[in-house]
Amino acid sequence: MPTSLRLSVVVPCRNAEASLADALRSVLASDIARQSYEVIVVDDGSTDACQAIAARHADTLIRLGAGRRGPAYARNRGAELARGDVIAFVDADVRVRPDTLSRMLALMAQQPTIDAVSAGYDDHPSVPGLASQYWNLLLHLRTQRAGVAPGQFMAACGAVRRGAFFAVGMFNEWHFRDRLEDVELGHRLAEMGHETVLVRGIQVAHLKRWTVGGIVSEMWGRSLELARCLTFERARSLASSEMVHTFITLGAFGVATAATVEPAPGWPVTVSVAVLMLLIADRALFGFFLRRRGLGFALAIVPLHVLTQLVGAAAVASGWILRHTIGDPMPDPTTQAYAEVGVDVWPPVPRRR
Amino acid sequence: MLAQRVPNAPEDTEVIVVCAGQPANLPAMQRTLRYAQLMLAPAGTTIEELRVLALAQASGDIVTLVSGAESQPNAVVDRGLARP
Repeated sequence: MPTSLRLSVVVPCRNAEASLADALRSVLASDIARQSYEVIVVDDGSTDACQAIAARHADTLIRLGAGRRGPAYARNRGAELARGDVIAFVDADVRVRPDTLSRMLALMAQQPTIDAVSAGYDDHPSVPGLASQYWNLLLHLRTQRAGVAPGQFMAACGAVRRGAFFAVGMFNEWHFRDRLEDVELGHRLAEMGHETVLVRGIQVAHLKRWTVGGIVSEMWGRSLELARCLTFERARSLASSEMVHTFITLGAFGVATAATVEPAPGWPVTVSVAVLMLLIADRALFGFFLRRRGLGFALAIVPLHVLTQLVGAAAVASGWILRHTIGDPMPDPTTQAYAEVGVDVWPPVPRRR
Repeated sequence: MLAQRVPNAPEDTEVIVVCAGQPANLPAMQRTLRYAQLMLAPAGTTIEELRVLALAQASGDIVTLVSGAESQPNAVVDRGLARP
């Protein structure tokens, strides 16, 4: 559906040559008139062929130079240069469908009260391998579950009105350098009265290849950051359902381990109960894997799932300890000092409550 | 057409024009785009390859790439890093 809204597509990337061309081609294959949108790639210090790939497909390339500044910083720099009424963020490992961006724009044109629209991951990730299939399907399920909750924004493929984005202070590049910056932005948008929606029917493909180590690292970083940022009022609601699942899994694992290390009469029953606890806690997840990939896949991912949950629980505990010993991660002292006395800096630093 | 696509380039903007083959109107182009750096690539070089060549020549932090029509040269506008 044609709309009068002009669109800027911002694609941050760092060493993403494996998927960047695919991602950019999918954006350029969108069913939107080419003259009504621009594509801005922000290269965050890549050492691979990202810049050359961007030059082939993008309208503008921003080179941030050597070093890594993180996706929040990169997206903010891209947004500053964007000229569109709506800014769509698309990750370098995401393939949009031809109608993804046009449906987002159409929704925002039809409903002016909606300030941000996010897409979810689809349920047939193309990257093979148990780890990639597991994690990408898990992300699909999470975005499907999250769709009903307010304040959802997914920067992997999310569009936001320019005015709303700048009014709330863009991505928080000081506090959330690597992860959760989009979740935090969604909560901040909602908190400041901007309506955000995650439309389950608008979907994109995740092209990221995951290893077990990568999943563990992601889970650790995400959970650690989640726990360390709990002092911010707006981030409190982040730690809800995920943690309940994590601690139930941890409890089940502990019971099963204790029963097998020091076997007592009736230990098979204890282990069975623990496994049952695990299945009940994540029944929706295992049921989903069972339906989509069969019994073999659902059973095969149990050890990986337990591992990620254990890592998540350990990271949450570590984050809690860090928060109560070192405190929150903060911007550099000068920036923070300016923010505390109310002097605006750019980009804005979120003030403590 | 190229001059219209690269309008009012500020003094601190580096403008690079990469052409596939030698254009017939090269002297006129040089007169019109005095501030531009002209590069000639072999005839038959694709638009995508021209863009990569131009990028390699650009020194700015922000590079805007503007493609002409198939028969038109490719241009790169290289802007300094701007902050609001």
